[in-house]
Amino acid sequence: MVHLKVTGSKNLENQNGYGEPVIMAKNISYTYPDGTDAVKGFSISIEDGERVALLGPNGCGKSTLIMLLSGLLPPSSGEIKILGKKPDRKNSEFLRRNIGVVFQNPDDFLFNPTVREELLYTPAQLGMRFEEAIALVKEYSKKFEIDDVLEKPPFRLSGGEKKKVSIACSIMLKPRILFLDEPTANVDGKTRRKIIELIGNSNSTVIVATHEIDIVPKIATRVVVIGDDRNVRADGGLELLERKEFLEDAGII
Amino acid sequence: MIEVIERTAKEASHFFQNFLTSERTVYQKGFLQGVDSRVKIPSFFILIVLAVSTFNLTKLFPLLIFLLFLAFISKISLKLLVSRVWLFTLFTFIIVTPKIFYPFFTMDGLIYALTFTLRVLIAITSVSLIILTTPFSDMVSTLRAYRLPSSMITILVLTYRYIHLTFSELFRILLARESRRVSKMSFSETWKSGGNTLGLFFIRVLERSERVYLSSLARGGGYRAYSKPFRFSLSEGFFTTSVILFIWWFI
Repeated sequence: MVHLKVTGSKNLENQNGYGEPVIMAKNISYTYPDGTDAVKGFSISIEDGERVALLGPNGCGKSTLIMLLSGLLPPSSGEIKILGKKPDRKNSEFLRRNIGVVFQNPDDFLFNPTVREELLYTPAQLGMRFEEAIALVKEYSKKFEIDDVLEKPPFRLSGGEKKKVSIACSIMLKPRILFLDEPTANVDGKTRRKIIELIGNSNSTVIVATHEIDIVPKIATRVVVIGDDRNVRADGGLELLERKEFLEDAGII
Repeated sequence: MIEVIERTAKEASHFFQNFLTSERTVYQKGFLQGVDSRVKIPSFFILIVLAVSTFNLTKLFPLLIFLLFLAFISKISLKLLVSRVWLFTLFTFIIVTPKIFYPFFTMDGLIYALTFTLRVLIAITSVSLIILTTPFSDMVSTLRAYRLPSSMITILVLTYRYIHLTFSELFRILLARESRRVSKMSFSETWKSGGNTLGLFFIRVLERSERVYLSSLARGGGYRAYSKPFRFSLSEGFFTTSVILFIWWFI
């Protein structure tokens, strides 16, 4: 097993004057009810505005990590702080206002009768004014090229369209932290380019889980490599992507 | 067994999807499609109440003709309408048939059976016209506008959405099994395989429901929704006037 020296990782305590890190996880683990350890002793500190790619092979626990770091699942052990707050019921509304999560499978994510209502769902929950929400929907449906499917039920859309709708639902609210789980999986080249462009244009702190090495330089500046043994192998800059032997050993290429 | 499950799943999926909405007709440019659902749905509800509160055939027939006229100007074909109502109507008629012959044939019994069937026919035709001319989202916003409990509406929305999804899940399982089956199974193997399929289906549905819950949580997790702005146009005016005239004539 090849372990690289951590080159660009941040310490768990804040060092750069941005205030507290937007996400701080200390030694978190998650075990599924059947006893499978999805995440083992994971620690990370993410600063405001960072773009982090969680890069790892299938089944290494990336999706579970996204759920944990976004506060949707409580860890079995360890501690997480998001925007300085513990992800508990008391802080739930605050976190939902500041965090956007895009799930890997859009079928899990989209549940309203039409695409328009999908886009209006979260603004309504957040108490945004109707006119303001409609203007946002207009702007982002055009940006994401989904303005011609606004009246369609989401389950009638193609895979790429569903993905774009899911991402639009989260990005349009300009969350402080945006989590994306395999945003470009199962989409064609054109949709993939569009998604990469839109994620690139977002001003949020971005955390992307992916196994697609080629998209990482386009959407991230920091790479956390997770091996097929679910351990963090390295946390550093984009130069990690050039170490073929290391990536092969981690099961990524 | 597998074939039976497959056929049942396919039929059920088709039925539920088309029972709640008809995407083919709701977006046509017809009269009822242009009437705001907040006017249309209560108006039809009133017509149903009128129909089921009378045993007067001379009042029921004009009402049925009025509904057929509405279907015509809304570009709903008679064939489509009949295909949605005939089964319930026939079933109702069979239920009341004994009334005609018990204890022996009477004209009163026949009129009662016809009236009863006609009342059911009018009620089902009205519901069908709502479904065929109203997008599901508008039905939901109407329920919201009339302040039905939001948790109930959300359950309805999720049911509609996930009926499609769960049946697609079942299809995929059945298709995958079919693609890997090389020989004809014995009777006991068929039962065993069917049981396994259903077990797998329930596990997958459970897992999916957990993911859906998390996603709704990630997106705010509430029941709030916007209501569309209401404008009273000529269509709403004509429709409301017609319904009021019917009420006046009935009473």
